[in-house]
Amino acid sequence: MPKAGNTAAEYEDAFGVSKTSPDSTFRSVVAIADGASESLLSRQWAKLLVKRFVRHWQEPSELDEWLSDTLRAWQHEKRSYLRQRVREHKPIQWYEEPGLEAGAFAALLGLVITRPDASNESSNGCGYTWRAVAVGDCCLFQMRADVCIRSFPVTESRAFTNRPFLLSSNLARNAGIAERFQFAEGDAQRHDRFFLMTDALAAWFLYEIENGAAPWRELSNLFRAKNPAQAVGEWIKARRTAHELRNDDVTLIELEILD
Amino acid sequence: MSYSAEISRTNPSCFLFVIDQSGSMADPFGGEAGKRKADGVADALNRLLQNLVIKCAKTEGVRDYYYIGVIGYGAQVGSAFLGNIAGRELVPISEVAANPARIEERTKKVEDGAGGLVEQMVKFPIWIEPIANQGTPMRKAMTMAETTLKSFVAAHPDAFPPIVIHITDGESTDGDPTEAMRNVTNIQTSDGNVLLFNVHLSSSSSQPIAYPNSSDALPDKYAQLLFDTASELTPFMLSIAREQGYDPEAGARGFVFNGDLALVIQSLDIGTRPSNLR
Repeated sequence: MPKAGNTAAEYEDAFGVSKTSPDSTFRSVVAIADGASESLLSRQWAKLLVKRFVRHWQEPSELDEWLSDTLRAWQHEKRSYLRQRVREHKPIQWYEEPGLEAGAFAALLGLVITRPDASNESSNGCGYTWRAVAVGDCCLFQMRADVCIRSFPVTESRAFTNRPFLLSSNLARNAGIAERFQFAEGDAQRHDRFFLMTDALAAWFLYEIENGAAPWRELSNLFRAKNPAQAVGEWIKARRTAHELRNDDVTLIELEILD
Repeated sequence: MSYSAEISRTNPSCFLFVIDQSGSMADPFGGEAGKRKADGVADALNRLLQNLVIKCAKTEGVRDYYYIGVIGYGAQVGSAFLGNIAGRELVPISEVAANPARIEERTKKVEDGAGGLVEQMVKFPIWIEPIANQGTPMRKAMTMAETTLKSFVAAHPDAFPPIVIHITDGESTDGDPTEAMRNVTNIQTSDGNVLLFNVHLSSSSSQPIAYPNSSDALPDKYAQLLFDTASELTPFMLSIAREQGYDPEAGARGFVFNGDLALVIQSLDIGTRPSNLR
């Protein structure tokens, strides 16, 4: 959902969900990204990041390769954008040049849920494990039996006041980026739920937890409404009006382990 | 809380620059040979407008987060814009972006990646020319600022309050401007009063005074006037002044006395850094 005052086309977050693998080895990948509003082409960059994560992410040890392939794909995407501008007779203006040169910036969060062999269920649950990757301040929360048991990579609502380190489409702006990637992993049991959300909503979510509330119930109820899109939209609008939620693009994914 | 309104296309804010273009602006900065004050101010303002436009540029164009006005006063009092927007009082920033009078090519030194510097050609759009001519009708300029801002505020009653940056090197020649300046800062939106920065340019080599919170160390009645009429810095502006290496105390004003060009550029930055852009 875009920030208030912006159109749907100006939404600069992105999300992606992989198809479940057809064989007995279960692997599901989801990702969200939050394009920085100060940069140009941030929506396109956020979309490319989630697409590349969902389709090509393998292991943390292959981060460098994934990154360089992703930056190469971006060069291709940027060239097509520039060609499209020429075709549309809309030449790049002087005020766009610095932003295009500086590159686009985005936060990225990816989650991979696997069950090595779906036919061999373990006794402590249903044998799922998850691994998450984050750069920036998009957040993952894991819920078990109505308790938030994991928060990654941000664990306190006040941490959102800082400017996060974001992934740039410009190689020169990514110095030391490998060290900025954070990784986490854990197991998942039947009926565990995962929430992935961009920073404004995550800040609200953590704040609520810190104040003894159970914000996941509120969010889950929205998804179970008769018209979820409308329910989410109205809920976000009300939270913004009450100044409980910063006016920013909001992206939320809820996953539940069913069996 | 004041000065917290979100700046957006539906609730834009405004920067109004009021620039002394009197004859004495042809002198060099105090203690510095070479560049005329008028040239330094025009360069600083053109560069600032360029940076503001770039900050508002998005993939689909320039977003109208601001209206921009430049009032020049000297031989005449009026809009200092050139080219297609000449004569206009407040111009949405997308139109400012689309209408520089011309674009010059200038050289900039950039790092070559091997520890050295190389010269690179950069585009430098020009909206304002340096002018230095005749008297200093400051009162009339401030009266015009008041009229301009009143109509802006009537159209945008909940805007982040307009910010006026006044750059001068001399004393008013059309009477005491105090009341006209007070009329400007008395204008308010639901988010607070108009903020006025008074930036006085050096004509001597004496030490500049930047962002004081009292007039004790000021040399004369004229400095007192510019201090008295300047607004207090907002908490956000105080934080930027600290970033720039100053240590302003509580109640510090948007006031610079006997400033050099570096101080002009810094105060433009303090006054115009977006705090709450959406």
